[in-house]
Amino acid sequence: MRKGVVEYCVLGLLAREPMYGWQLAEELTGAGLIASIGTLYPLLGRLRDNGWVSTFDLPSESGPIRKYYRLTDAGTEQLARFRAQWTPFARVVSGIVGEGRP
Amino acid sequence: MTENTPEALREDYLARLDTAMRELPHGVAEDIREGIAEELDGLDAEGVAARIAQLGDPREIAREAQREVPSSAPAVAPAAASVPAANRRLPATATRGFAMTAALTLSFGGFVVPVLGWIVGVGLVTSATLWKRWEKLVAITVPFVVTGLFLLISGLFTASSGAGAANNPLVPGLGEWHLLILLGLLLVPASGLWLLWRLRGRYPR
Repeated sequence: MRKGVVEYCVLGLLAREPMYGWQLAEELTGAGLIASIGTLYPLLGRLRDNGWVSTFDLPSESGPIRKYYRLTDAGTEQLARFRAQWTPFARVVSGIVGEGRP
Repeated sequence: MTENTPEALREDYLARLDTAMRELPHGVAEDIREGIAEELDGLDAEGVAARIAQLGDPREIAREAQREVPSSAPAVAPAAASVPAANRRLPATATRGFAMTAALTLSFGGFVVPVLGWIVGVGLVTSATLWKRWEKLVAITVPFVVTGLFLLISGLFTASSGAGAANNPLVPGLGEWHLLILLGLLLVPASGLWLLWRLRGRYPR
């Protein structure tokens, strides 16, 4: 069920601020959305191929250069479309499935 | 006894990761490697060890990635179904055949049609997508950089030997044909073959 939604969660995270791979991986694994960093990079590759995210290099405080991902205009547009569909969808599903009454 | 320097830990982990990711498409493997390498870079041994423990077994990372590659996972569907999913056809420039032709043309095109053959090779290499930009840049420019350095060193050597030495037939000078041999027969073919070597294990994403 997570598949297909995780991509939009990445877009949602990047809408807050540009992030590098490890940062994204920590957020997503912490939320239980991906199992490992191995899931993240193919996903980021697809988002980049779709033109929804782009990358840029920035030196970190400790020295090494990190590759940051940021949302493109097309990505912002996709995220807005997803939000418009997701909110009513989630409301309907919650209404039907409910909270699990005995 | 194994070394526990941060570099040794990092290199050991990345080597195990490379082995585990051999079957992954090049682009995916490269992204994962870069992401992990940049995270392990600049840390002390303790920090690297902690990150490695967090990352876990490289084989598991490779397995997770394998599940996500296009052959097993659908492309991300746009939120509004404005773009129907279509069978993605790879552009010719993304294939291994194209890249191999490009590398061989760069290496030996100049022998078939002097200069122009090499220029065509440069064009093909530049269009191929299986190499990184820096690899293309190295392959195209290194023969000239090395030749330039060779010239410079030779010039310095001649200058330090005195003006008379340059004309002394007993001191070997740098003739144009030396440069042509160096550039045409050795460095240019070697640069193309290096690109060919860099293709190992790379497949279009």
